[in-house]
Amino acid sequence: MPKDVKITYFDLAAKAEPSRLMFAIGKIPFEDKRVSFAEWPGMKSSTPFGQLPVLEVDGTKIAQSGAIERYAAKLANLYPSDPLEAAKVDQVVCFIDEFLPIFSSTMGIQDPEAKAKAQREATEKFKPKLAKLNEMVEKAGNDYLAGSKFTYADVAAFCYVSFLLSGMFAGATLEVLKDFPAVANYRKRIASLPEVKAYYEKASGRDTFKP
Amino acid sequence: MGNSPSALPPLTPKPNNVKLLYFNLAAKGEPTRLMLSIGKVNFEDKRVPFEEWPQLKSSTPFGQLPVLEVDGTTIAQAGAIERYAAKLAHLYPSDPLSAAKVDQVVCFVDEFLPLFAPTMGITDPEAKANAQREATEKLKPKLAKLNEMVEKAGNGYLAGSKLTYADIAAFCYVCFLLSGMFAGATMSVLDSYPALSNYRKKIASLPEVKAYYEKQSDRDTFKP
Repeated sequence: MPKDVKITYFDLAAKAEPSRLMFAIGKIPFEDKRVSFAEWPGMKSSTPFGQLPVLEVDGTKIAQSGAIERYAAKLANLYPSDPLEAAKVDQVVCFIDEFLPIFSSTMGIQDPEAKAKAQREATEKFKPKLAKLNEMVEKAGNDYLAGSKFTYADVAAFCYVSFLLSGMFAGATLEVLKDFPAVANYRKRIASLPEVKAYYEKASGRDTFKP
Repeated sequence: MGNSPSALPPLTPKPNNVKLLYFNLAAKGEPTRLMLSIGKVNFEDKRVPFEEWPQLKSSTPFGQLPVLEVDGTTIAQAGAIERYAAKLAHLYPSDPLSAAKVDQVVCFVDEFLPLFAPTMGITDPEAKANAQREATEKLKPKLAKLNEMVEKAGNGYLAGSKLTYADIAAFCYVCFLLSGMFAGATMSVLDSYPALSNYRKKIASLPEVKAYYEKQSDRDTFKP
């Protein structure tokens, strides 16, 4: 187990939330550093790729949210050691990784009306992916997304769905899940897991992550 | 209890039947092909002709290729398939922090192909060539970053002291994107990135990589 773990990101769920949640589930003490947008330009060049999140583990820096997430998953026992079982987790995560990019291009639009319009269009593009996730959840039945155990795949799906439908993006609220009842139930199911519920009881700005 | 960086990965028995389905392109199939070959894993390298694809599409987990079939289990998504192949080939560390160093390079290299992918669907040849030349310009800052990463790499490998999945991904995507398939994107682009150019030659010259490409056609940029 590492001694000093620090994850640096903006004060948002987005690309750091799966890692934060997995460190919490794994009971790995970590510093959850939130950087303001104003502070960011000054620290950008000190990061490996000029981006956040960045993870620091006993002096080693790791960048790229996917790499950080998978590291956190392993420490939290949420990533199988068997390569084929791990591949089942990875394939779900690869699919979930398609969700955020649909919305991220809308973040830079200045004009509020143009931004809202772009976000509503993004929400429409998101729906077929939610339909696919709905199908995957239905097929899983009483199991989880990558087999009989709760894994990184479920954390990724839960965090990105809860974040993207948090109301931060015009048109993208939990109401959208009315058409995807299996995903709606799944979100509640994961949110109700004791370790997930306990983490979010202490968090603010995370209403959609609660049961 | 923990893994030291030098600990061997747990012994995974090699699967009996492995079949990779992808188009007759390097692109998203190549890192897996190369790693399975390096790992001496017997596999069927099925190249699906574009005309056959519409019928096959609905039988795949996400309506996309590549897909890997392993003793009756189907795995989709290039990243998942690659990491699985890397583990079979002992090109992915068992230590989580060492593995994270590999994963971060792969995440970065995964940004390359999407620059060009939208240009594939453009039908007008002139518009397509223009879009591809623009994509090549967007690739250059990423090549500059990769050049810097190669320069910083002590042992000449991108993640640690030996060849890993990180080097395979970087090698395959650079060689494919600069293969001349995309207007403006040829090996001469690497003239501005000498460390990266040397790195490409070095990986191509590794015995197990060289041996694989000696038997392949349409992979000129993958050769030393």
